[in-house]
Amino acid sequence: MSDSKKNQPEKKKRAQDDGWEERGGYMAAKKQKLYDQFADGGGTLKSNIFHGIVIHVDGYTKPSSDELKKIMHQHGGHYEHFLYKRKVTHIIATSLPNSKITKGLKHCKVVKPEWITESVAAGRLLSYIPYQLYTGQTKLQQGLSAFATESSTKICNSTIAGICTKNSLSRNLAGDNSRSGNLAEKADEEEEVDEEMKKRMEKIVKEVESGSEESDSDNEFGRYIVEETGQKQAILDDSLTNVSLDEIEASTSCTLNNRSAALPSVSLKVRTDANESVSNAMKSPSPNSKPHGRAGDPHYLSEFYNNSRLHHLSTWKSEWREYVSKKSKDMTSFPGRQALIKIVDEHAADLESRDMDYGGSMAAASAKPERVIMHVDMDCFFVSVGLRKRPDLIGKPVAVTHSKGQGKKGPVPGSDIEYEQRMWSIKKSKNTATNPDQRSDPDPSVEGFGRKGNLDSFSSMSEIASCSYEARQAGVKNGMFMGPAKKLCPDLQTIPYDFDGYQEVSQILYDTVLSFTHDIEAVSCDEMLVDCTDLLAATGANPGQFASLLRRQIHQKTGCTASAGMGGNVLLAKMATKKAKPNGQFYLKGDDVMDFMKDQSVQNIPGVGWSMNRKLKLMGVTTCGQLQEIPQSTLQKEFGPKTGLSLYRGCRGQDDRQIKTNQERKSVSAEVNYGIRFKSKMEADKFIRDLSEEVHNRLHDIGMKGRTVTLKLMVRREDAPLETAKFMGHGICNNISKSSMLPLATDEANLIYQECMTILNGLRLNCSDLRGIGIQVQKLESATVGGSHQKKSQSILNFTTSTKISSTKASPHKASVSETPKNNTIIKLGTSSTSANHESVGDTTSHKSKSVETISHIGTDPDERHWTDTLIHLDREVSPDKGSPEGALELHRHIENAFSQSPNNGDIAHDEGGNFLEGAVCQDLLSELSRRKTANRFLPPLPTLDIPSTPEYKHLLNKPSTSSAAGQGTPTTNGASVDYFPSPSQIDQDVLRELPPEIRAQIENEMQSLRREPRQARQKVPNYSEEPGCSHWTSTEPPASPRTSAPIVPLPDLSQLDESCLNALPDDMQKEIKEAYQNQQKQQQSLQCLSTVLKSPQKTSPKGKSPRKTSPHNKGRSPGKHSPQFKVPRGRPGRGRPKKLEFRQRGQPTIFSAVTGRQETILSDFASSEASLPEISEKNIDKEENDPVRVKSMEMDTAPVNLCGAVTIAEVRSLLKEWIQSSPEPEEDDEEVVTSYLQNLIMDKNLEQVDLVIKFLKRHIQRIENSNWETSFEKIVTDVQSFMKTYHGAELKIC
Amino acid sequence: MIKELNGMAESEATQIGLDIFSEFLEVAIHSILYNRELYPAGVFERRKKYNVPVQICVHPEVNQYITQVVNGISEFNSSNQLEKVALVVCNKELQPLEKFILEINKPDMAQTQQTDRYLYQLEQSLRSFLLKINMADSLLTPLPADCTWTVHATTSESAAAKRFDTNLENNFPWLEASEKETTMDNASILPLKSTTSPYINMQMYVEESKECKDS
Repeated sequence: MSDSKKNQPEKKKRAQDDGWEERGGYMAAKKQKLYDQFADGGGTLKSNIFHGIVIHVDGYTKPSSDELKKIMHQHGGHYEHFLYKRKVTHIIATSLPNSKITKGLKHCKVVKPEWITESVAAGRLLSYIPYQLYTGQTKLQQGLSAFATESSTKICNSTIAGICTKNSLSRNLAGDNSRSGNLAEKADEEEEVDEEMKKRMEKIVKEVESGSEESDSDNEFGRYIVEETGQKQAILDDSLTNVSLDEIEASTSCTLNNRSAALPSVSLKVRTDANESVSNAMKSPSPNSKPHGRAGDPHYLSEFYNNSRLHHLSTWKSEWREYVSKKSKDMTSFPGRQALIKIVDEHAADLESRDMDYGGSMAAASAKPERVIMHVDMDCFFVSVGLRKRPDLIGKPVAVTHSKGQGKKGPVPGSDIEYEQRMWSIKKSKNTATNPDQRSDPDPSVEGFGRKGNLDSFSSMSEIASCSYEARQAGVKNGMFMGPAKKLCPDLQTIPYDFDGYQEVSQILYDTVLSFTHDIEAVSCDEMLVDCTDLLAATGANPGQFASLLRRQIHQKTGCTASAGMGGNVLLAKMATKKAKPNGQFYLKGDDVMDFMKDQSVQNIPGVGWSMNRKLKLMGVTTCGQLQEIPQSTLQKEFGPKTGLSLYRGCRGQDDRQIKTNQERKSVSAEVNYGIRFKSKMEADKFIRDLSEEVHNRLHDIGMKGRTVTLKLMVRREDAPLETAKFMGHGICNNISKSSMLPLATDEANLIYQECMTILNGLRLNCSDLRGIGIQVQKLESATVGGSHQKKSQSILNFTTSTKISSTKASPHKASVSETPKNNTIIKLGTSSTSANHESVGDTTSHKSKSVETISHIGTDPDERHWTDTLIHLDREVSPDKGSPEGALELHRHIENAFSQSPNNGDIAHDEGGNFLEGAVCQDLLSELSRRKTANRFLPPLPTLDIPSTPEYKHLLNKPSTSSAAGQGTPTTNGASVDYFPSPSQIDQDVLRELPPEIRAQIENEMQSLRREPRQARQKVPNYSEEPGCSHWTSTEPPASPRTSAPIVPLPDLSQLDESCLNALPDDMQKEIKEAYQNQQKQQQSLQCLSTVLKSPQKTSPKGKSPRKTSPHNKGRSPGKHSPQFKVPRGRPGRGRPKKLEFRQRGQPTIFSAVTGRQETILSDFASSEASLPEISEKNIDKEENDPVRVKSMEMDTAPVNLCGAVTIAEVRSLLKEWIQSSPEPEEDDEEVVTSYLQNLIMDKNLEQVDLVIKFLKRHIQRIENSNWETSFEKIVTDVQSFMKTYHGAELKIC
Repeated sequence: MIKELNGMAESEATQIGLDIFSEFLEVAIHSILYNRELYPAGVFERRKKYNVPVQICVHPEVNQYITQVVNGISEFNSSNQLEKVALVVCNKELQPLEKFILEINKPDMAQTQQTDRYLYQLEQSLRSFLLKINMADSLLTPLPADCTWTVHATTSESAAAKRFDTNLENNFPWLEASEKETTMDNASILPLKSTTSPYINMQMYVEESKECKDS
């Protein structure tokens, strides 16, 4: 800064321009007077410490404001009575009210008075940062929003960032100045320059302002910086002025490194300072640096990604992959090969003249080509690219980093660096630590936090992205923090990132290699794998020749050096590169592999990470040579078969990985874990929305859609301090990652956003604890597969949309509540309904807002609007949950609630909508829903859920049903249309959209009518299939049958279905269609069953549900034994008498009628015995009646092996017990029944039960001590044993 | 998992059944080896499976053998050609003394998966299989010293033939069992447990030869 006194008139002039004119006369005069007083009153100038500093004292300070004023005067600073933000550089205060901090002084540096006094004591200007009264963040790091400009268009930001830098530069220079004082002397000469510059700067700022409409404070702020910049510029030598002015203009659009590169005549020292201050400006917590947009700002993310180093690294890989695959399609010739061939020829000639020294290698080259993989890697890429602009730094230790370079910074207030260090070391000691910032070639010897070096609280936590080999010699490592690195290597020079440069050099690198071959796997921006086998065979070159040519070309074109390693596979190539570095090449020949591998560290083997390395160390293995001595079986035992094998192979240099020239993306994600400090849920919400948008953009860019959305969160660990040591970093976190499956692949931001919010809400986290958020989309599939429109998720339900506004646009929620026929599909069909529902929800979410809009247009009367509100409400409630099955059930619950609250609504729907639904069916549906809900153990509704009240649902019910009734009225030619109309699923929605509206409406009507009936049919099916019980049927059947039986027909015959067409459909649709057919069958079956059951009780539904049910007989091995007639217990009716009696008592004569004449004799036997044992029967009856399900299952199931209907051991036991107790002498028939039952059990492979039954009989028969029974039992046992003997070849052991 | 079970296709259920069977078979073999004291108790380690403690052999070679046996058997099973698996305990003369037989039926697909959606019932029955194995020890006569064991799989001719063809490729060949190894004189059967579920349908029993043991 130039002498502030000289600047005063200038400042005043601008102050007037700024709006003091109306009162300007007075104020100008007053300020002039004060200024003069200041100029007069101070006494002698002692030093120039505060040169360029303008302070304003706010409130009580110690020393007092008068004293400060005096000090400032004596030491070359200036004192301002009024707080002009653009003029005052520092505000001195010991305490400030909060309102002043948050409002008035938001962007000012508020410093404690000690700064002044101690600076004077030190004789130089100290950094104000440790003396800050508050740090721009109130108590916590507030997140990026703290630095945000109110409206930050990009240009504005970059300008300010640039200006900020100059500002900081000026401060640095000022410091310099006070020490050396040599530049300050020139200040006087610079007045005119100064003025001219300021004009220019103002112009620039105005341009920026007009573009961005900054708020007042920012406006002022901008000018303030401009002014300072001007001052600073003035410090520079006159000769520099012109250059500088140009620069300032350039700085609106240029980054600072350009600028520093363009200043060739500035001394190195100054330039370094400038660089440092670049990063200072970026990183400093001082309120005047605003490199980022606010977290909620729409540009925030793109800006974040513009600045994030890791992001660049991560995207480059995929970008280059795409580039390579694109290029290999476009380019067919290899211009580079000519040069190579030339070299080969020359070389050959050379060799000939030299009498074939390398005859061996020539022979090898001309023989069958050996597989050669080349690994090309630029040497410390970031550095060498950066050095292109800084040739003066070549040969010096250089690091690329964001940091300002001193490696020092103030501790972040409230942070606890020791804590984090401790955590890191704990992690390290567990040896599970992975360095999150490892670059492409991580140095394996440094671990965990050690890599970062020892931190003290003033060390910069900015990481070194890359450092030159000179720096590496000093012990600096990639990924190290700047602070410790500076300690290791005090001369370390820092250069900033140069992303454009990286891009450019990468481009050249890839183009160069692509001119030779297309067999390239892009590894990262500076690294690739090349399969040279074909190339070498085609050109006859040997690997060394190609490598040197390639490296030479790269060096010529880019000025950066590259290393190349070659080997027989990827692993060897990569290892060879390590040996080749820096700037060399190495070909690992097949014969040398084993020797070469012996000395390699095990960590070079792919798959050997921290934990593996630790395990290997425990085994005493550090090199591949040692590993080679371990047999494969031991490795496989220790590490599992797969890993063991890969280790075994890896340490021998065997690697069968292929060069992946055309790799598919597996996932797309966007993650931010820097600067996340949310104050409210709203902010988090907004941020996730933006992030979803980013993910959407990325998905869109690569033309993919994903089916799984994963939300990754970094949450501050409970015991971690609120502040992080790294400024705005994430600190010690718990990582949470939750996924959600979508029914259909999507790339829609809104869907992704909703999924993420559902997950986030489900986690119940405190938003302020969030430190990192990432969204990942996996299970990618091409967005164009299936031929559907890009933006539209395909669902069969798409085709059901009609042109009627209310029903087309209706969300599925509304539709399903309203029970329009097409949407009945949603509620139908057990399990599939969930997925169907998903689809529809997913499908319509995007249209939701639109539909709601449309509806509100129509809905003019209050009732309608009410309905719309409800709809929105419902949407909102249900949609966050839609991804999960619970979501669908939520919906069901809504429906259910609605219905249960207004039980007559079903009828209303029926009356109005008319002809497709019965109230009973509604009820049935409800009971089905509730049953399924309990069966599936769903959680009870959350208490927070609002359940819409009845009248609203009335509307829901009324409105669509009328409209759809109208829709139904139009197409009456259903029967005919079936014949010629293509299956609705075959209609291309895209084509349909292009048709004239009239034709389209017609087609859609047709489709609807086609669809309506099958759907309707299918909707009702589960009512039968789910509950086989008779009682169930009777309640539902009468109202439903007249309608359900007919519409089955429109579902085309299964044989008519084109299978290839079916297969081409998306899975969900296939499933839906298949299910439709299944249900059709089921329904027919159940109808048949119903009729047969009424006639004969022995025939029952095939849909029995007993868990004991077994029917292996038709699947058995020997058909003779397994024939169905063998299976039917011959004496069944006889043994079943107690049961039969029960049934009769329960008033089911139909079943009784099945008893045949022969059994009636036995029955009479039992009639007498029954009289003697009334209480037993009584008891059983009660028991049976209390357990209707079991009764049902017994009468339903003929399939399982049973003893007169008794299936489970308990049933059998009670039956046997009755039998034994009922008569003194067993009937021969009954014996037979039991025997055949046991034989059946044996064939049913249920020996356990045989055993149990025999034991039971034995026990009870022994107890009654009846010889008749004992003989009978023995007979049974003998029979069974002989059967066992034939069947199993061994007898049953009866203990 | 649960979500998927919901709308699971038949083939998926079959696959689940196969996996469960293989898993169970392995555990069962270990349990039998432990209970019948075919190896000293010291080489076993207590683990938890199906929520009951089981003893798992930690001897690597035994484990490898078991793994390969189970792999081979699940191969038969996956082609639906497995009828029985028998763990045969033989005496020094390689005469079979006991056979722990696991007999498999085709699972009853008609039974809806809904009945045991969370596999609770299946787990429970597998648990009781293991408990029954433990219990069987008390019902069986003690084994003589120096017993050895082998595993027999009863499968279809075609599957066996196929297996013999590929024997050379695998380093774990299966051989056709001789008559002597398979037949037991005067055998008696001790049923252990049966289960029926949508995934798996099997029973387990022990065939033991009194005579050989006595002699």
